[in-house]
Amino acid sequence: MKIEIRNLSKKFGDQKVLDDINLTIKQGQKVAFIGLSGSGKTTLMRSINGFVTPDVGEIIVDGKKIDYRSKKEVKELRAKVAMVYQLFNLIERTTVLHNVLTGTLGKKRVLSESVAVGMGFFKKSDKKKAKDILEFVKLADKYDERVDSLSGGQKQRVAIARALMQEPKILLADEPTANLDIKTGKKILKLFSKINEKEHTTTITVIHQLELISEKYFDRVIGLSNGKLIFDGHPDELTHEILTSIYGDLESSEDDEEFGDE
Amino acid sequence: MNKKVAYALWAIAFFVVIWSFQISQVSITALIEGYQYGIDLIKEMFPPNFKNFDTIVELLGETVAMGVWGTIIGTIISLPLGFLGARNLAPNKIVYVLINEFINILRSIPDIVYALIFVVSVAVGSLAGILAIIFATIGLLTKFYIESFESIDMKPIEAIKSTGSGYVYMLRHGIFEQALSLISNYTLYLLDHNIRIAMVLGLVGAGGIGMELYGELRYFNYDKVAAMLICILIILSLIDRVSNYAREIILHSSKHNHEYFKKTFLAILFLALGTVAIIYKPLELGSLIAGLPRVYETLAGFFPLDLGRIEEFGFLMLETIAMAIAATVMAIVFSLPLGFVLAKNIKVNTPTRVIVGEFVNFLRAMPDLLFAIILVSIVGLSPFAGVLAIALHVTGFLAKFYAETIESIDEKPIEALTSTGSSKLHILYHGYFKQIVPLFHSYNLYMLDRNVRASTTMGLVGAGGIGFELIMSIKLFEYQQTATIILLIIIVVSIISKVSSYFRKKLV
Repeated sequence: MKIEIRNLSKKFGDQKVLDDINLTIKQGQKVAFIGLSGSGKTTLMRSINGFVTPDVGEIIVDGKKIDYRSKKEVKELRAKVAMVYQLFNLIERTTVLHNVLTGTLGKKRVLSESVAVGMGFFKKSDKKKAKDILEFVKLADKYDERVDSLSGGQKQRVAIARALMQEPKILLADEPTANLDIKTGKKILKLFSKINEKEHTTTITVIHQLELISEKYFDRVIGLSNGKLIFDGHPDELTHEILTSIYGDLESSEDDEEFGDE
Repeated sequence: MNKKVAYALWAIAFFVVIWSFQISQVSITALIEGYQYGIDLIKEMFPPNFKNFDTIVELLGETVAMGVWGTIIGTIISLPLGFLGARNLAPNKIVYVLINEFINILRSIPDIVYALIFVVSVAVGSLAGILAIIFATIGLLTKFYIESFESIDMKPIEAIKSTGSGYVYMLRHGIFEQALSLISNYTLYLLDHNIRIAMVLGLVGAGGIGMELYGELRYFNYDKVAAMLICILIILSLIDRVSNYAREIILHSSKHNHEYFKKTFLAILFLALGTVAIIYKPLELGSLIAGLPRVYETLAGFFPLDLGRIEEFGFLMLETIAMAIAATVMAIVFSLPLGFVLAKNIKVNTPTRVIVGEFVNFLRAMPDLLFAIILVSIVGLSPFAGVLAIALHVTGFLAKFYAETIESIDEKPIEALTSTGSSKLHILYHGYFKQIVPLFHSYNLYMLDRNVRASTTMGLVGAGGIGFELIMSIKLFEYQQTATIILLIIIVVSIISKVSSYFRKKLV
């Protein structure tokens, strides 16, 4: 599924968060979105699954323009595009298995099955698949534990398992490592690479920790600043100058700027 | 938990509920037949007769004073007990265990049972009421204080110690500074609770407006009863509101930044309550202390236990438990829709929410025993009256808890479910419902625990359960039977309390 983004612009109030973005992402690419907070990377990502409706421009997924007004079409799109979050967004007081099974909720079902799922009864085949995926993310033994008893890294793997239940062609990840330590963060990105290799899934990751941007995990980096696309290339091509243009002067911002009133 | 075990537990729960409804004679027909009595009762209540308004004010003053004095003395005793009973502060394990077990026993005895004992041993009147409130307060408040002390962070304490500070400074700046807002919150809650309790202690002769109310009820002076009920409700809702507001200020002080305003408000509140307490019921500390030896004498008369009717009492205890279960289930059914209407994040038009809110406040303010004495005239002298009474009162709490839970729903997983392309109904079940159900069950269990205690007292006004035998044994001076019944209550309430708290810990 190719993603084509054409002339995309979006304003929140007076603030322009996306300014005429043009971009094509081929199936199976491993893309990182980088940029300062407020640079528009999350907004760009969220317009791919219809959480944000752009003001101008269009996104074409798999040759089909997203019609943001049609709820049905947006739902069908979302069923194919999975999402992973910074704060995991899990239901803490239920089991790992239930959380993973909720990944199938966008699937088309006949009425009787839909009613059963609405009452909390999933099909055996779904449960089997959920357990297989939990095996893949190495959480097979935790399936009937409550999510609130897990560590941060384990929670993120549950969230990834939920996303994999959708058998997504595209996997969006909004700062999936920001709440984890570097070591765990690397494991999560490695998992994304593994998913990418296995299913040829496109992965798009918004990421803040520069030390995690390497060709091991990504084959393309897209840099945004003030809503404009200012870098698009291989991780190797990220020079000090480019980083400065994206993040401003890194050294000075650490040393010279003082905290305002908090 | 294993799926099969879970299904089996649900099946058992289902049959237990059916059994409870049967034992406590819950019946729609009784309700329909009682409808006419209900209408007649309300007709006779109107217009309310305020001729004795001065007496009502006098009695209300006395009742509030009972609650205030009981809370003040209860607080003074509970503070050191709470300090010594906290796991992190107790001098040694023995003191910790002794205090905790002692207050567990104190807490398992319903307030009105204390009142009965003190009426018998000290005298009929408000002194017995104050004593009863003191004992009930110690049981509850010490427990709350222990929780407050246990929640403090020990790291700053070590920091203070490391400055070479003395014990008193450490106590003041390290421990109390941290626990103070929780302690004040619980104390205010107890004050509110105690004034409500004081309203009904008169039903067994322990002073306050309850005595007069029960008297008028027996002479079928329903217009006077109505006048008193209206006054009681006004005072109780007023106190409920002021106490909620004050607790809000204490717990979320950052919300109300006006330090000066805060302090003035609290000062006026305490001054007003203190004045009422002193004007209407100057504390007779002498007679209070003089009464204590007589309590000892009466308690000595409780032994040896008379186990002659233990089987009969055992059955009544089962009926009591059944009543509590039926009342809890009924309250859950009432509270679910109300809770959803009250939750601010659910779209409901404002007038509906305000009306429902006031109704729920009314249910909470009205003590269950007062509901019971009215309901026995509608559905007859049966456990069903007690069940309904408890269910109505508890709905006042449960609906509020439910609403707060729904308001605290985490929106993050909802977004995650939306991102899968899921339908609204599926999001409702898997996103919202799954989040709130464990918390709902936790509240339900807590209420069940509370309701067992409440249902042991319903029999005092003929609304079923063991309470009837309790009051009869006292009236017939069969104190050794009284003791057996009280012991039975302590055992059953403690067991249910332990089971409920075990499951609550698992849920939350």
